[in-house]
Amino acid sequence: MDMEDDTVQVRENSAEDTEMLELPKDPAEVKASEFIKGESSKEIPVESQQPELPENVVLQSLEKEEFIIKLAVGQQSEIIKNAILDGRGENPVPLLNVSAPILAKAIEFWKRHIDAAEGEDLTEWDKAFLGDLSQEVLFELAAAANYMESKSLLDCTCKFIADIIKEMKVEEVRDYFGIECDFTEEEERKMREDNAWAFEQ
Amino acid sequence: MPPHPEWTAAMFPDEVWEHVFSFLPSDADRNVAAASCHAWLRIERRSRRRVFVGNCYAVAPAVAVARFPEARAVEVKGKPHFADFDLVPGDWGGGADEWVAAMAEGWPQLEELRFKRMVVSDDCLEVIARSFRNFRVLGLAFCEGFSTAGLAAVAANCRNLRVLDLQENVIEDNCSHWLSHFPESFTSLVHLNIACLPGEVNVPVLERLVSRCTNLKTLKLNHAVPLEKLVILLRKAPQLVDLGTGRFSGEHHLDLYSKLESAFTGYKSLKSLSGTWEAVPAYLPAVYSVCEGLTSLNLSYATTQNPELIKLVSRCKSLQRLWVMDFIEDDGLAAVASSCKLLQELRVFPSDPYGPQPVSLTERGLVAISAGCPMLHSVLYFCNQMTNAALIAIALNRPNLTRFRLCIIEPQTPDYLTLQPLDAGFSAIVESCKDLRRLSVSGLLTDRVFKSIGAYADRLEMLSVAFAGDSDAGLHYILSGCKSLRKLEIRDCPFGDKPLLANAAKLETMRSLWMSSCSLTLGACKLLARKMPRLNVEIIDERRGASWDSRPDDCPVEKLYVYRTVAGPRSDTPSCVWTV
Repeated sequence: MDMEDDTVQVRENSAEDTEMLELPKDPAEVKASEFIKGESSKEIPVESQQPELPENVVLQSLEKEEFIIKLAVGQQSEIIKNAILDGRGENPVPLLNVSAPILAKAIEFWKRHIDAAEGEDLTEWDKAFLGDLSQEVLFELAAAANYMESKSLLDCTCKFIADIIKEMKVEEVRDYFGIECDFTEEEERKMREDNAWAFEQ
Repeated sequence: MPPHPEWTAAMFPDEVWEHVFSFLPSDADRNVAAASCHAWLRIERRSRRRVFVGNCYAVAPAVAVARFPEARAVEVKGKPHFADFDLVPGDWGGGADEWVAAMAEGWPQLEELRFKRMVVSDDCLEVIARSFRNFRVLGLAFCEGFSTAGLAAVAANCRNLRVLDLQENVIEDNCSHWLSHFPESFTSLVHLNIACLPGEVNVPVLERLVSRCTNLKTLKLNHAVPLEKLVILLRKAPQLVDLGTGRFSGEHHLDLYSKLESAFTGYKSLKSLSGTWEAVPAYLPAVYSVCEGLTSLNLSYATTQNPELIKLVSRCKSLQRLWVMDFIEDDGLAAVASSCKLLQELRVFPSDPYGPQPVSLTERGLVAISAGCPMLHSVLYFCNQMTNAALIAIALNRPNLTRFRLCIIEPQTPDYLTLQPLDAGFSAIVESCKDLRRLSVSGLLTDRVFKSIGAYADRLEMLSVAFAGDSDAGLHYILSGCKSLRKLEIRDCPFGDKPLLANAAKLETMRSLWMSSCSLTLGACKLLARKMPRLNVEIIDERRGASWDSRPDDCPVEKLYVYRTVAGPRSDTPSCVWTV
């Protein structure tokens, strides 16, 4: 996550340089003021101009409950990342499809993954984390990961759900996922046959 | 535990289910998901990228293509396995034309295509070359029907080809310059296996190809590349991971050895080595520098003998896979057992099965390997003698065996010490090796061994039987047991109609059954076909005599091939095949 490094750096610089004013939003304004001052201050190319980035991000759940997290933690969701970095000034970031308990779990996941040491294998932690959840929370978390575009969380939850399906029979799958069979008997027989007879190892 | 009753699967958007399915490891799991409800069927079949068809006649090509519209990789298999032993007539079938036509029509985004034991024409190769913009992988194994002209079309048109893997095919050589058809701008090759190519190879063209394909990881040459040229090629591709050296012999030059040695010393990444080495002991030490890192060594076509062979193999301390000729002998296998502790797969092939000077390879070599190599799980072993005691020892040493194929060359050979059948030995194998998935039995065997196999081999998927058993009971034990059986191939056994008919339903749970030179009659085959309309019951008769319609029910059936299919009887049966 290169952008993340850049933003941390910008934050640090800004904190140390007490003389730096809040950057104006209009690039033309910068050039004009420099000209007026007559100083040969650094050219700030328009492209690299960045709005000031917050250290923390406030997330707002479905119930309008607010969660404060570090920027780096939140950037594991593309939605959150884009909201901040696109300078839309959306702070707090509204996540209207995610309920508070689910958002809390997502944050817990992201925090653990951000804190991971270089090359640390989190597979066991992931399994234990997800294994502790009720099925309802697990599925809501996967749906939230999809909505918030968090690849790491989505991959993890989906793989976990796939592992549940693995080696189940069709009836067990339907039971577990609350799926109603909407095939006719004939359709079902034909499909099982097609599958097993034609398209299996 | 069922989920909260208010939550339903409908709350997930399709793309999340698609993502879940992408983590399912097997087609069987995907099939279960697809069978759950209409929504999942739709999602699964639209997102299946890798399609496997184990029997090309089990489903119509157009149906397969329509079923999985987003396929990017496909593998299709044709002839039964016994075709490798010339038991299946050349014109039996397995043609790829209809498959290629359907794929060209319905899968323009196809990237990978693999055919095994199919008849692939040059026309097929031309269609493949023209039809798939993003084509990257072509794998043909044990196929026939094409020539180097067809390969030229692939070379000329597949701009993004990464893999061209030709394994054990029968190829006609009518375009020896086919390699030149790869354009100068073509650089994407990662894997080139031309080991089975019969003709000459234009080495300068190959050199240029190898030079510009800087990502080349696998290069397997054919016999036509002499040692002097090999050295040049090696220098152009020091990044290779998998090398097939071809014949590894050539005209003697003074400094050829040192050039060869220094070329190999440059190979830091080599993991896999193979070649049709023709008795070149003097040059073998040149490869010593790569031995330590090798995980795979394939000398199944090499005539190198001991002591050079032992010296070479004992240096390969990281070996996981060893394919070798019986020249290795018991002494060599003992050395492997003490040097190659990571060995997982061993195949020992016969050099001259019926020759006057048998090599000293016996059951002792296999016992030594089973004792010394704790990770060994896959064995193919050709030998002349065996004992029950040896098999029992192997079974106890290696309960982790998943594939065990023993081929005692002379049919019906008993335990040479006790002169007993080898029932006890093979029974021990199936009782001890609970994860056994593939088994080939040989030697003198009675119905008793099949009783054990039927009862204990719960995970067995493929069984090969030859010259074994006493009566119908043998076949009945197999078909009424072996819960996971998918493929059964039998030759020269006294198995008749009764067990076949009594276990007709079992055949719908299996991919295929092959029986040749057994005691089957036409009447039974007709009954079977009538009872099980969704099986194709094929009688194969190479004498192509009078029509089978008019023959009496007690007419013996020499070759029978039965397989389940959703496509009905095939329309391309040659004159030697009659679908009952």
